[in-house]
Amino acid sequence: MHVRKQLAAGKQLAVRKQLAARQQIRKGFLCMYMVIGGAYQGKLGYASDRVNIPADNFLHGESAGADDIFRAEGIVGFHLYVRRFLMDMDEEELDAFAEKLYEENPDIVIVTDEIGSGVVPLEPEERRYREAVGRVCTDLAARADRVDRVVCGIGTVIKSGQSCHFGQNE
Amino acid sequence: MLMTVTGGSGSGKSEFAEKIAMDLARPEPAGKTAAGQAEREPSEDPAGKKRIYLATMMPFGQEARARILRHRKLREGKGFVTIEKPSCLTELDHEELRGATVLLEDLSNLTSNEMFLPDGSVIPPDETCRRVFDGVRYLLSCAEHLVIVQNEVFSDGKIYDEGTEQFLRTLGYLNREIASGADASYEVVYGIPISLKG
Repeated sequence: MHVRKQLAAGKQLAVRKQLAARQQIRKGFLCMYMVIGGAYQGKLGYASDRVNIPADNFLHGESAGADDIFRAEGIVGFHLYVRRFLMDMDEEELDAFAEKLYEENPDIVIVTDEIGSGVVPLEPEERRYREAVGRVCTDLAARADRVDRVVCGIGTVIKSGQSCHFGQNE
Repeated sequence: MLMTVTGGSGSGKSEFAEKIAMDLARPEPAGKTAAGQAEREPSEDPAGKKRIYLATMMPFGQEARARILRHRKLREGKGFVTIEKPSCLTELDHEELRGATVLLEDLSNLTSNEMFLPDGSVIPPDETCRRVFDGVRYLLSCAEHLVIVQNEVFSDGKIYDEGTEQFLRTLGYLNREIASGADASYEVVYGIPISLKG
């Protein structure tokens, strides 16, 4: 699949090393994985259980540097990363960001709040923020092999590629 | 056929609703069409399956205009005829809608336009609902298919002033009633359609 294709092309040694190290931990599971849902629904614990990555290893969108995301195993609070670094981008730039992340970190686990289901805010900045999170997450979900939505700690698989089964962690 | 599509802001619900409308209005399998025959007008196949995009947004302010432009661009080349009608849908021309697949975007703008009039007066919820239902029923009576875009605006945990809460209650009621009469309903989450019914 996409990961193998990249490896075959020998495009990125760094990516290859990174994947090899992670393969050990994830027992073969390698793909871009998104866990979405409202705030305080147990998304991080759910994601961490699925992929065998300790919660502490996740980058936090509130504090991460702009480039850290391209190397991180996972990020939690991705919506805050968007707020800090991406919300002034237009639609094409957001898609370019998603593509870059997918190229450089094709097996990242992205945990994000869904923030677009409230009353449209009066402040233009708040509207831009919601819109940017929606667009970039749509771009990422299109590339992700799997997307789970968590409500009350219970996950529903809403998109699943062939390579994305977590074995006994399911 | 009545379909509803809901979703949060930036969820990709419009794109999905367009796709549904395209599918519903697809011409019958064109096996009989001889090669080399002139291409049909995409918005109108011989059976009269027009695609109409019914826009309810009032084009006030730069942001609204940008939004309208964005949606126009999305629809480009998909053969939709755009009709702008912010309220009072029963005033639309019956002939224009007959047999068409109509994409109504969106229910919250329509409800807001029916409830809050330009002169500042506010129509009570019952009357607002009646106007919206009349509009939807009218569309259903003329069009072959109707796809209605709704909005998820109910999950931010805030309590608003009574005017806004009244609007939300009304919109929630309309969402439920219309979805209950729909043949199929979807929620779109980050571009992924989730079937709610049908």
